[in-house]
Amino acid sequence: MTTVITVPPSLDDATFEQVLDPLSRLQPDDKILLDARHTRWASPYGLTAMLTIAQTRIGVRPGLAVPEADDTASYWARTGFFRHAAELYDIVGSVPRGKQTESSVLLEITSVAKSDDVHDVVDKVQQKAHAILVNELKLDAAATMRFTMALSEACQNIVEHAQRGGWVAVQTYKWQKRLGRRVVVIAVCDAGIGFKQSLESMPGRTRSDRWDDGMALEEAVMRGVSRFRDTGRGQGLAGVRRFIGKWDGKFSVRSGTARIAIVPSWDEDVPLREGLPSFPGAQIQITIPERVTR
Amino acid sequence: MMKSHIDVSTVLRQTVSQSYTNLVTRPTGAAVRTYIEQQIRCVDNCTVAVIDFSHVAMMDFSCADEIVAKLVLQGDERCPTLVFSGLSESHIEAIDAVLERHGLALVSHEADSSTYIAAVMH
Repeated sequence: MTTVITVPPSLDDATFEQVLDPLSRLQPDDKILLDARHTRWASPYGLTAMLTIAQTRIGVRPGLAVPEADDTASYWARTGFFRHAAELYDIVGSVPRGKQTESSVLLEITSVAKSDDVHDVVDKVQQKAHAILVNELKLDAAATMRFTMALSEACQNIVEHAQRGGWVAVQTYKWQKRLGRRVVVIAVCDAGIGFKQSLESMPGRTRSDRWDDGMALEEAVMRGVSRFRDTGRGQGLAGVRRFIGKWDGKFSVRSGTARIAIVPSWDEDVPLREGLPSFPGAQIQITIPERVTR
Repeated sequence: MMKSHIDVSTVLRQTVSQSYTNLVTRPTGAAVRTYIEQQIRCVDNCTVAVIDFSHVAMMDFSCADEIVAKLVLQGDERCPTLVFSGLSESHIEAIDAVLERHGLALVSHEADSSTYIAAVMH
């Protein structure tokens, strides 16, 4: 029997929970079909996280029904989504060719598994980042380097901790509904071991009364704790956090059953959300808004 | 006084890849640091090693830690003074963050629109 999971019309980090909720009640070897026929829009987080779902299925390939709206399917093709999805899903429906380049796509969906992949990602993004960050988002020139540093560190989370590959995507778009401004969004998603299990492998770790996904995220993201004994470790995501404040941006990391976020004044999210549907790995999102000149 | 000048972007290309211009990831940083250490050891009576970042486009926190922080932390009695030169604002930002983490401080000097950082080891 195949369980059909409906992908919401608008798929982002918040609505993705509607996909994970029914998924978390299934066994990894249950046959599923992600039905995206009526989906009209997906954020980089939504697309990369959808790929990670396939990684969690064991023994039987999941199915994916393609969006019916031509413009949506074409856009997904231009982000490189279907190229990766074809390797993971049995695709239902027609997939448009995505040969055209998409100006809003700063980085097509790209797989990340090793150090060389991070170099490639940074090199690709650097060529386009300056034009978008400075000209469109009105950020200062120094933001380009900080942005690529943040991207590098977020991708390295996969290489250093996930123990399996993941995906990264960077896009810019106008976030009309929530912000009324342009944003650039980095999404880095994997279905690896996640923060809790990674920190559990830390040598000499003492167990505390409370130990769960939320606490693991607090330790890693807020306090820079790493599984490595080396005191220089654990600075990557802490460094990302440092930049986010300068840009009035948002930074969120979901792992297991919890999600931690650095929430700017323009957003109404909560800093820590627990009791979410369980999902392996880590899903990172960095949102940088257009600077408002006063 | 024997001075050793090390161009980090050349080291990056020689040790990791000809096509890379950015210092990113731990393995890259570790490979570059190891090569720099070997270069310093090759110079007899080296008193100052100038480690030049002029042609490095970007350095992330991981590389700042693997290269700058570890060179300073480990030290080398054969070359007591390290000078990190050609640093951009973003290089400084990454270095500053990793040094703070290790409880280290370095002296910086700005000249000719670029910054030099000196670390006296002994």
